[in-house]
Amino acid sequence: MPQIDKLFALCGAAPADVTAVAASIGPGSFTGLRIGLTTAKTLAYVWKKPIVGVPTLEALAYGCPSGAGWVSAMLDAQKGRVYQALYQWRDGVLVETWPVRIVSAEQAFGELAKLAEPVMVVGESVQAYAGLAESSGGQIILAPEHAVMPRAASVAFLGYEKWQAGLAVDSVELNPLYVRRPEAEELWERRCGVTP
Amino acid sequence: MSILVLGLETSCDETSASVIVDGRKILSNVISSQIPVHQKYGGVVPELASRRHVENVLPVIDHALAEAGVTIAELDAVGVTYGPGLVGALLVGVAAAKALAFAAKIPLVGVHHLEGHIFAALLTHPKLEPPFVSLVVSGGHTSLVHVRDYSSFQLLGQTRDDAAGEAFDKVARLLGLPYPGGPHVEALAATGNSQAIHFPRSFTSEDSFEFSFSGVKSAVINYLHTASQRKEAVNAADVAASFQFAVVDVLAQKALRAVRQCGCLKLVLAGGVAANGALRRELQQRCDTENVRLYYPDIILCTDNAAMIGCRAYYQMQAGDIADLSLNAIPSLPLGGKLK
Ligand SMILES: [Zn+2]
Repeated sequence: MPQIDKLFALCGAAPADVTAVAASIGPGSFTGLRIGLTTAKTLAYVWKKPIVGVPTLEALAYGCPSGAGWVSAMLDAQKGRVYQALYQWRDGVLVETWPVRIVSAEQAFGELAKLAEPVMVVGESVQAYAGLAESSGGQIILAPEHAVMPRAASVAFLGYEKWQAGLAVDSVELNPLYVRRPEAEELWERRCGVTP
Repeated sequence: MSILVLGLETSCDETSASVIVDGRKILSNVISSQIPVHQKYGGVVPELASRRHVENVLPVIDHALAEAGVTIAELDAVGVTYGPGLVGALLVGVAAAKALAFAAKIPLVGVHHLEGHIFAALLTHPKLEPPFVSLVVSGGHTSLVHVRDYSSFQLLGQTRDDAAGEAFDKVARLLGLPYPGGPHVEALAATGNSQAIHFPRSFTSEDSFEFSFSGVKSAVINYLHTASQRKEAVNAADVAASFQFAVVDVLAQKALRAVRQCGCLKLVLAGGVAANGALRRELQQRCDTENVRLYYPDIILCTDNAAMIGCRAYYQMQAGDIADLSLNAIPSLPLGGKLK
């Protein structure tokens, strides 16, 4: 909150000037997502402004404009798994090819290696996968450190595009995109023999 | 001019928002309970609770404002529970309250959950004022607190292990009763004999205000285990009644001793277990004999709710205890930690 306060002061804007609020909806740390999204939803609610949800991986890919190529965004999902999505830049527009999924890091890189063209991988700590990227073959390029951080500006630009496309909703309606279910729920179903 | 405070509570499994006038009058108190969500797990699942809070918090605030007929622009402050509780759950309420305070340009007040429970009695009893002794009994807490004035709390003692409400939940599970166990144990106990089985009471030391309920819980486990080994039938109602009496007996004795020691002749019962009829009756009887006045909140204000948070926030605001926008959730926030 103090950062948002400073931000307004810094750009000489007032909350009354805001047209819509954009927020990343995930996936990511469950608690982090909830804090960010609850803050954004409440601001939109009090200001009576619409809100636009931006998937975290889309914002990451957006921060890496690579002409006319493939961009795959990845984030750690614990236990050797990653959240992954694949996008392609077409005429300056980021088009989603694989929606967000949760897979093992091996599978994530294995399938990227099968693409006929080069693919740029973005996301925090992607450099940790250098070995895996190498051994998977294909034409996989790991984004440099400076281009792998999620940025609020990417969320805002994408939010603007989505707002123009009529994708804004009422503050009450936007919820996190967790992708992963709560562990307790999965354990319970396994124990009770329920298949989801 | 009257002061309007919005209270917000998300420390465990209830999402609640409330509008309070001048700290004492409830205009609305909306509580969205998650009991059905957690029932099959036999207890609160923190991740599920947090997910529900995110979905519920704005609709609940909106509902509370609408029911009170108050707009955000008319609010004078927002008060929120920032501890103790489940960290992920607390953070949702804290994030919402901070954003609301910032966007509406009103003061933010961080409220201690137990202080909120204690102040619930002020909503039911408009003339009640400190000093008094409060016995806070819930699924998460068993504490004796000396409330000297509106902003001075002294923790006399608390539980070393299980909270009293937790012991009720565990015994309920042992007896095959559904979650949450408290009301079911009480209902079953009503049909049993509380003197049938003598379960041990743990008073720790004579002059201590500390509690311990793991012993009586273990005694119930042993009793049921022995009976099943001997293939003897168990009278579940007698077990429930005898267990409940063992807990109530300790609570009542220590509470009355605290009142005598503090010399204020007022006892305020608070927390979810304050809804227990056996506890109320036992305390009433002992208070009557010792000329102590007993106060407890309406049943709806015993469980987690935002009205009590709004009430507490009002008195903090009067005392100038305002938080800034860097307020964070503190899952093990000590009572009276910041004011003393
Ligand atoms: Zn509570």
